[in-house]
Amino acid sequence: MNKKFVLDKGVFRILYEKYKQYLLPIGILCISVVLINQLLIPQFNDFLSTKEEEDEYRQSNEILRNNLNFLTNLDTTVLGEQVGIVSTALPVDKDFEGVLTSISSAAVATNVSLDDFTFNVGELSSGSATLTKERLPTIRINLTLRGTVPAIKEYINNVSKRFPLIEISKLESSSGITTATVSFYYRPFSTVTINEKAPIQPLSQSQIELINTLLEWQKESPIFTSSLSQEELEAQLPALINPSENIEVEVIEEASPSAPIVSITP
Amino acid sequence: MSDGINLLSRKTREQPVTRNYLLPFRIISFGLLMVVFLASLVLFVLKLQSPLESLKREEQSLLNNISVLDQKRGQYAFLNDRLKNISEILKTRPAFSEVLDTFSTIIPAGVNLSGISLDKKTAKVTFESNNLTEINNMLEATIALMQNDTTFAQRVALDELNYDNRRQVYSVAVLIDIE
Repeated sequence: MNKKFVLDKGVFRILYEKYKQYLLPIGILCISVVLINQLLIPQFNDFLSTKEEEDEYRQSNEILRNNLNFLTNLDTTVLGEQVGIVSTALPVDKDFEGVLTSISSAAVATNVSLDDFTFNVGELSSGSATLTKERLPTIRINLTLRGTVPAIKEYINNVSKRFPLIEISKLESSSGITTATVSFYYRPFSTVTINEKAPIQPLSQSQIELINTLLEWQKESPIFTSSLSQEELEAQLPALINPSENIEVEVIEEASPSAPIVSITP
Repeated sequence: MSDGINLLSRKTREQPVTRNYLLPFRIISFGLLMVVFLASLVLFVLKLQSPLESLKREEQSLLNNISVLDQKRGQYAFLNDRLKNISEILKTRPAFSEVLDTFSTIIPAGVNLSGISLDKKTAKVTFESNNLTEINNMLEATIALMQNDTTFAQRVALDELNYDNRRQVYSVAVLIDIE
């Protein structure tokens, strides 16, 4: 017998009558699934992201709190002195006065006669476009000195511990006459951009030792000229600081072969 | 065929089976709805109790407090920057004075330092004496210095050995490789 199946109103009625008890649980189940997908999972993800955000804020606040404590406890006077020392050791501009004072006072201290000298200063302006970031700019000076060889040795020793910092790139001493090529380092101001949420690290042991060494050199030098006064530095710093980015270092002018610049990226 | 003939009707046989499935099905569906409701409620309450807003306020307050100390922070950043650069300079510049100082300590009496020539990473030191034995002592002291102090120099080489007949003086030039 080949009966034709017809899906009509009657069939639906029979099916409804037979399975109507299942309709409510199925509907509830469907609603539950929809709620899970549309409400619960997003709500859970939102909760997780809130937790992550909370952790980030906690860490960030911890860093900020430490930074605040560190800066609050930082002795302004000591910091000012340290800034004074380093800005004299490595001036922000071409410190001709400091350079002349250094080479001549070293000559006086070591009984060496300073004959003549020539400056190779490079550009007098400080346009940043022509400069590379890899090296520190220098002022190069050719010196002629008269003195005994031990005195010249003393002169090298003495002038190496004076400010601004120098590098002797060439020296020839013979028969009482010495010619030397000396490079004085300087480092122009650059835009210092500070990331507010980066932890401020206290000075490392090696940095403290370096400051102490510079302090000793400063004491040994009978004539000490500061290339930048505290007031000048303070006046210039706000304009050089931009919050919430990384510190960028721009170097200006003629390069020295052995002093790569260190970029600060806190 | 009449259903009444069978003692156990088809209808009554299927009903208990249907009920057996229906009850757990209802429990599961209602239970799931309740779980969804409760979970959603718990998450909502947890989010309401989140300290995020207070953390944001605290951060803003800390930032405000720090901004007062921007001047100090700038100075400290400047100090750090200079120290890094100075450290690089001192690390990379040739240690001529240290080498010459060390070398001076081994020069015996009767030997004079007569010439210095410095070029990048090399120091040429010339010393003289009218006594060849003193020159020999000087060379032996140099070798001993190299053996004992490995940080002194990478290489020390005898560059020249001359005798000035007019002054009757021996002179020796030593090349010191600083790096």
